[in-house]
Amino acid sequence: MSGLLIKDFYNIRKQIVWYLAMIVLFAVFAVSFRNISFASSAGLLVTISIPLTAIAYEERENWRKFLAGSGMSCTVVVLEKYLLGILFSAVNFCAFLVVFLVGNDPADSVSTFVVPVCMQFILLAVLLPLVFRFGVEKARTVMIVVVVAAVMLFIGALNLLGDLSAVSSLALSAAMIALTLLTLGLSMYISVRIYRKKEF
Amino acid sequence: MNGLQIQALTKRYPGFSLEGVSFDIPAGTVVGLIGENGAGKSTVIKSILGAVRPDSGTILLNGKDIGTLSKKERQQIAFVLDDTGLPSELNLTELGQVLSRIFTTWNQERFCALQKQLQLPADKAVKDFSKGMRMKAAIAVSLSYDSRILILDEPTDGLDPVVRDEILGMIYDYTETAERAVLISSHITSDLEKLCDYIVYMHQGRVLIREEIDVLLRQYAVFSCEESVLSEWNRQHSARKIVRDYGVDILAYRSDIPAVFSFRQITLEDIMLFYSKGEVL
Repeated sequence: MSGLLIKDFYNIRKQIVWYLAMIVLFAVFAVSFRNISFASSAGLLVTISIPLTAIAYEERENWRKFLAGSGMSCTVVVLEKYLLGILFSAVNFCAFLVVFLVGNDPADSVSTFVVPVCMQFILLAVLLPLVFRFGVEKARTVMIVVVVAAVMLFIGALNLLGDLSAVSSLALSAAMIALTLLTLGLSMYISVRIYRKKEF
Repeated sequence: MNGLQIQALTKRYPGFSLEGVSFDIPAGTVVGLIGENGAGKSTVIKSILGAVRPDSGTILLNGKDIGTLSKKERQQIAFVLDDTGLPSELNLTELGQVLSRIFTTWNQERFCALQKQLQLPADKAVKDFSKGMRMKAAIAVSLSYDSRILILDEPTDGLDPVVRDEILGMIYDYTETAERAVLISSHITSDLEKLCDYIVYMHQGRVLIREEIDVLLRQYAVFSCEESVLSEWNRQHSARKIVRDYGVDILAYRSDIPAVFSFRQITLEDIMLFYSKGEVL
């Protein structure tokens, strides 16, 4: 898997620089305007964009046909893309943590931090099977619908958080983490099954 | 049998099907795969590489079903794809770092030596290579790990004669070790005539000819005559004709050609032409 990760880092290094710059920029905005949703938006964008860009390159270059010939396992090929997304959301997680600690309102609850982080992973979990099934181009249309729905869900969740007490905020955070893990696991299983049936 | 065996391979797509394709690539031989565009050559190659799943049939590597091979065993089949499949933004130094983690028997020293031999720049991105350089890079990759079979999908198409000759030389060198074998598909039949021991001719998803190249080229000949003469022609084997403005061209067994006709030596191109455009006599 390390070979695949290194390949992706090299292949999309220019885009990676832009996405990292975007994380920093959104973090600065979030602190400046005392609005952490700026930083969480960058997280959503980066987490899905990095693996999608890497997959778009692979489709164009026929890299997957090459991988099939190399005897690389489908599970490894699929999980590497999840790992790539998770690694960059970890970078954003750090930036978001700084924003949360520096720029948050004292009234903000833990779930204000946990929910957006979990949403990144859930979005990744929803999108990757679609991309493996339909390819990046066809999945883009579906992706727009999913992103709009996710943003609405996210805003709705934030509004909901305002009405919750500190205790229920912790419970909500725990539920969100459990949901995220479940969604990611299910998504990986579906993606591997989809990829095994693909022909190149 | 040592080498690769393709047995009754069938794959159906809407509008095209590969039907019961069988042939062997014995160790120590070079097998040329020829056929028109859409004849099924690439589907056969992709089936061997695992990029396509056949509906039925088996592919055996040294007697073992390739579906049951481990990653290391699978990598005994080296390959060069028509579009190379290499990541375009990487240079060859970076590519070496990546591929050394993918191929279990990767030999970085050999890869560097091949780069020098082929005069490939190590620090230039693959996307900035010419078509010939990209193909040479793909061949350098395929020769940088231990393999028993080398499969090449149209490696010389669209390349100039100098690069083609260089590539054919490398393929020839690969076969100097007796237990190795090569399957090469190409539209440049003159390249195959130089290189191959056997020819497999595919037409509309089926194997029409599977023969030793020397036998094939010696067995048949082409002659021209008036069409009216054909009704009186006694022969033991079937033949094929193509109607021309000046009469007919006939592809036939040499032993069947009447002494009064002068004939010429055939090429693989003649075989393709007569089997795709010609009529059976």
